[in-house]
Amino acid sequence: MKLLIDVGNSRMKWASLQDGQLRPGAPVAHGRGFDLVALDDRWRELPEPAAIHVASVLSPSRTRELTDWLHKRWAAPLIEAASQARQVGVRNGYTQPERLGVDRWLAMIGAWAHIGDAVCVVDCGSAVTVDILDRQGQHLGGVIAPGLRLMAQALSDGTDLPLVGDTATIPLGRDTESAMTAGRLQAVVGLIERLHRQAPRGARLIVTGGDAGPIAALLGEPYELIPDLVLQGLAGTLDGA
Amino acid sequence: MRWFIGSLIALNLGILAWGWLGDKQPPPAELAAPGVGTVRLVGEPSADAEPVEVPIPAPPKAVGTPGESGGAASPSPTLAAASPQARSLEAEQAPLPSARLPASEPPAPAKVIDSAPVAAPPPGRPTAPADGGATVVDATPVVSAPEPAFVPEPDVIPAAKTAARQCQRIGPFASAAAATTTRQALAKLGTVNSEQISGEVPAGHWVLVPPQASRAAALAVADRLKKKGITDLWVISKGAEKNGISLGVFSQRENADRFARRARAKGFDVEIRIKTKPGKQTWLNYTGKTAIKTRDIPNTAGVSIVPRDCP
Repeated sequence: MKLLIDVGNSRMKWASLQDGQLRPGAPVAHGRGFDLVALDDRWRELPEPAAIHVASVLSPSRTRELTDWLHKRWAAPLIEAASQARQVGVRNGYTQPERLGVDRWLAMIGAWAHIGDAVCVVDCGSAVTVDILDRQGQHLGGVIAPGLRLMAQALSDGTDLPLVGDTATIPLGRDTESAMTAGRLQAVVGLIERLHRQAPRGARLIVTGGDAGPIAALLGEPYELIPDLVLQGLAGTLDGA
Repeated sequence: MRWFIGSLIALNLGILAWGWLGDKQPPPAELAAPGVGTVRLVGEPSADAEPVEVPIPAPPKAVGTPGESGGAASPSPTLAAASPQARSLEAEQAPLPSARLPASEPPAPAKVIDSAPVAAPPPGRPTAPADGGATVVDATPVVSAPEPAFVPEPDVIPAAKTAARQCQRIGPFASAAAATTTRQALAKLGTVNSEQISGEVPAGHWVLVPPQASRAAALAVADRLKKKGITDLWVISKGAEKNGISLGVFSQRENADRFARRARAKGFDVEIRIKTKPGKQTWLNYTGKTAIKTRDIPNTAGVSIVPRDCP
């Protein structure tokens, strides 16, 4: 069994991989630090993994907080994923391929494995990222924008408006709070739809991330919601690892 | 004085008539010159131009005023019937539930606008669509030119085709000697340097009963262990394993496994962790054409393979 871990900016998603079957577990939120006691409890029933694969967007020092603990828990080797210039059919469009966020890279690999054609990959997390692959698996580039929570935070910090935490699918507001909720949702939806329109003809739309639900519900385009897309991409890179 | 007022009136009437007649004059026809082709004046309407749909600002009744907000909602032409985008979405993607505002919301956007507490526009300003109305309607995508599609930058594909160097760190090893076999193996694949840093180093394989719900529960498990003949133990009082019961640290994994099996046979839930202590870690810095995989490393126990910036 291999343990696959996707460390985002605010959540850690994980899955066990055995005989080609990816079994995702419940995500664990993390803030300033990891709740190692909760993790320990969650993984108690897990058999000893043969290898641990980590894809982390956190700084090396913050990632080490987790990996040091994982080393104490299991003797398994631990491999941190990194963005490559090309991998399993996808070619990185960054001028410095290793600088592309590993979560975006793996999400594209997961999407490519799923679609095998032009695709628009949207990750709705702390940041919203949209990356576009053409029909040959060439990454044309992408965008990074603030996610729902950060938009609410910015609006609250920069004005006297309240801080809204609601992520309900509200297309138009009927009071200040719901208008703010609708505003950030529509901002992200507009971003996604515009980029999708500019993507190569026939590009599919794949959505993932913790805030994908309310955003996808407002999309006026057909989409596929794949919650563990990054983990699927990570699994797709492990042949012979 | 009378003649002066009279002449002013006559002058004004004259200017009015001049302006009125001027508006009625047809615009100049297309200017044609030999070898130049047709010249069309800027702003001149074209006979074959596509009809341009312009969102019509909702009349005050559709926008709603506080006095009208209590009435039954009627569809706003601005948000519903007159919305080219809404029409196109319905035509192209009618089966999609998400193409329009969700059903859980008021089906007619006008209803939202009607009941919203919209302030009356200030006098002298044209009545604009209600709060956000123009944004929601957004008629421009239908009538505007197609947006440019993304294409690969000329330098993108060659750059991606070039095999990038792989730069990774492999470790930690408890000593430079412990890293030797791995270093030799990796030297066949690329360049390897080593460095020492302060950190935690493995100190053995720790057999323990995992943390219990409380110290009292941990003490109860400890009592049961002692009654079953496992007496060399202590209840952990801090750290991630707080309220667990430590049963011993073994330098060899096999010995830890054997002890754990015996404890499990007596009915106890036992785990093996890697015990660490502060020390000097040795890390190998690898640079090569291919990324290191675990199969490239002779002994992978407790080893990380971590990306690093290429120098």
